[in-house]
Amino acid sequence: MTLIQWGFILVFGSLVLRLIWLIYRGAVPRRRGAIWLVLWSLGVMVVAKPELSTKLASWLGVARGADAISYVAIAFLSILIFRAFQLIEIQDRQISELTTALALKEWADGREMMLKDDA
Amino acid sequence: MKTVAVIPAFNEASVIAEVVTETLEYVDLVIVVDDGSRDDTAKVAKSAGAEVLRHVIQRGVGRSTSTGLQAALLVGADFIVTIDADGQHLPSEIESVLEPLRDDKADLVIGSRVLDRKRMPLLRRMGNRFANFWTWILLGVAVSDSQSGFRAYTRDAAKRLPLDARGYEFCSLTLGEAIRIGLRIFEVPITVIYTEYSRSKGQGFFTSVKTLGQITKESLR
Repeated sequence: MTLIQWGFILVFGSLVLRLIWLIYRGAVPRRRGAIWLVLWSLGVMVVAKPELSTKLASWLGVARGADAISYVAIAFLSILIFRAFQLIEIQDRQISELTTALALKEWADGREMMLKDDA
Repeated sequence: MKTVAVIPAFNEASVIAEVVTETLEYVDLVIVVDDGSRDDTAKVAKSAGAEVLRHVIQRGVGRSTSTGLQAALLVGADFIVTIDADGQHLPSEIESVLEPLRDDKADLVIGSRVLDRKRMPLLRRMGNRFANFWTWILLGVAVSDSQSGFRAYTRDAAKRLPLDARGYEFCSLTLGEAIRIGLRIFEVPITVIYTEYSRSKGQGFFTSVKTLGQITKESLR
């Protein structure tokens, strides 16, 4: 195995171990953790056995293993970006609702105090 | 009948007092929503006689209007007028904007700058026409001024309209939603005062592009 392969195995391997630890502690939901675990494990396997990517390429009808990995990576990143945008949007809406709720509460409290003072 | 004016404001300390004072002559209560201003907008508005709500962080004119409408409903408003904080609208025209609501001819009234369009700066005029076209194409609402901030709502309309949008896109999206839930929309001509200050505010070219993008995105939901 080449140095770069060892490097990637080290990175993916430590990610797998960290993920197992997080799932064990309950910091990552099991279902989501399992998906990531499969992905990182696949990463380790493909780096350790590059011929797997060639098999994947022929299965997908792509010429080279490296091309297959690129296509899969682009598709995966697109899904991740879409998901990230969705999450940002949801959180943005929640922040807006929170901002309104805070403003209304502060204002209502102020009015209440004024009414009490008047009384 | 209680009439409340809602004024969304961001960094408007230099003009807000005058707008509040003049508006108070035509309504029972003025609510200013300070959208996280870095100047004394809130303080000045309060001293001028407005009820002030403060967004702790800037959320945009759409969200500020939504906050203001909710506050107006809480104080029991029967009619709610929204007016810009930069002084481009004439509070003396509030009565004419409210008239179709009082006569039960409409649920939502738009103060249209269309009659005064010749006085509109060229870029803004073009942007306004395109926004109207875009609002018509995507939301099926044909109005002469889809981006006007001078509007009036009945209590029922304000309660039924979900105003989720943050920025200027709320102007068009509100109209789309109003049509969808069967509200009656009416347009009334208004005068617009363009000063150096008011020109520097509002929708510039890039904001307009962003607004059109947001309208497109939201209408495709």
